[in-house]
Amino acid sequence: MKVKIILTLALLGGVVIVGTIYYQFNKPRENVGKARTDFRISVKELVTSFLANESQANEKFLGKILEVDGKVIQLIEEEGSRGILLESSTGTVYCACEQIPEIKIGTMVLVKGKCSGYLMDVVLNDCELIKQNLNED
Amino acid sequence: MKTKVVLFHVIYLMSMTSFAQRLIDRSGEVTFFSEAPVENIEAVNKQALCAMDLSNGNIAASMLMKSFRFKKALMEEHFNENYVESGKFPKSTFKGSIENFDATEFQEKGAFTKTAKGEITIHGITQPLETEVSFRVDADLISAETKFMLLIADFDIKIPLAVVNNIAEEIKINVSFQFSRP
Repeated sequence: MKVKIILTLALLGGVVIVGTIYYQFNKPRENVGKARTDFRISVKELVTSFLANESQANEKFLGKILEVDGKVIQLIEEEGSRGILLESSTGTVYCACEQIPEIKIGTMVLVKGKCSGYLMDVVLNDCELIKQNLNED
Repeated sequence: MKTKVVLFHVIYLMSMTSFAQRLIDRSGEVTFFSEAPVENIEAVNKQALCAMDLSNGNIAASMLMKSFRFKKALMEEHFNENYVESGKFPKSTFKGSIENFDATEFQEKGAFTKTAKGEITIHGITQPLETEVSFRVDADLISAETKFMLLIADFDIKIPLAVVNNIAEEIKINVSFQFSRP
């Protein structure tokens, strides 16, 4: 009887371990839309902090989930690369996304994405549109 | 008032000409392949930035390491956290120029190969790089493609013994940019 219980437990343990390894190995990409937001910030503030001190801004924002609000100035759809460009008086934020949502250029939107750093613009990856037609301040 | 208007036009024209000399692509593609006994790993970055100056052949390219996409999320995590440490070194860059640069070649349609020479920085380590670049000049596009190999050890990237058979010592890099012609 005791042997049976131990065997069953060992088998169950084995299944859990193999399952966990298998899940870890094949786990899906993090769902940015459902992830907890680390910072809610405007395009202007975000760009300004990268321009003022890039390494400090990297430390603060790299790999973090941001919700950014700003004005849409361009929808970019090139080979394999899609995104929304948000603009402020200080610079731009490029929000790369799988599908370009139906939004109008010139409107204010709120986009959620994961910060990858700064090139020509601040880059957010795996973006999702959270709100559109925000009231202009 | 009139001088102001003239001055404005002069500055405007000057900025136009200097701007026209510089080609920019912000959605270049960089792919890397690692061929190892246990598995092959491939990742692609479609947000590479490259500026090429058509007046002197200078090239500057950069990309964010966090923009590389892998087939498996776990590989991407390991790549960013353990190998290239993209939290500490978010960018990789190349700065260099085209050898024997001749601006007229870029004005007519055609295909040709040039050598680009410069320095590449990955994981905070800078190494010299020389690579053959094939250019194609079309009616409204100039495309540039190159491939080269990099040794992981040259960039102080440490591979744990446990996965030494999963990751190649030498990584194959393919780069492709497309510029709209001025």
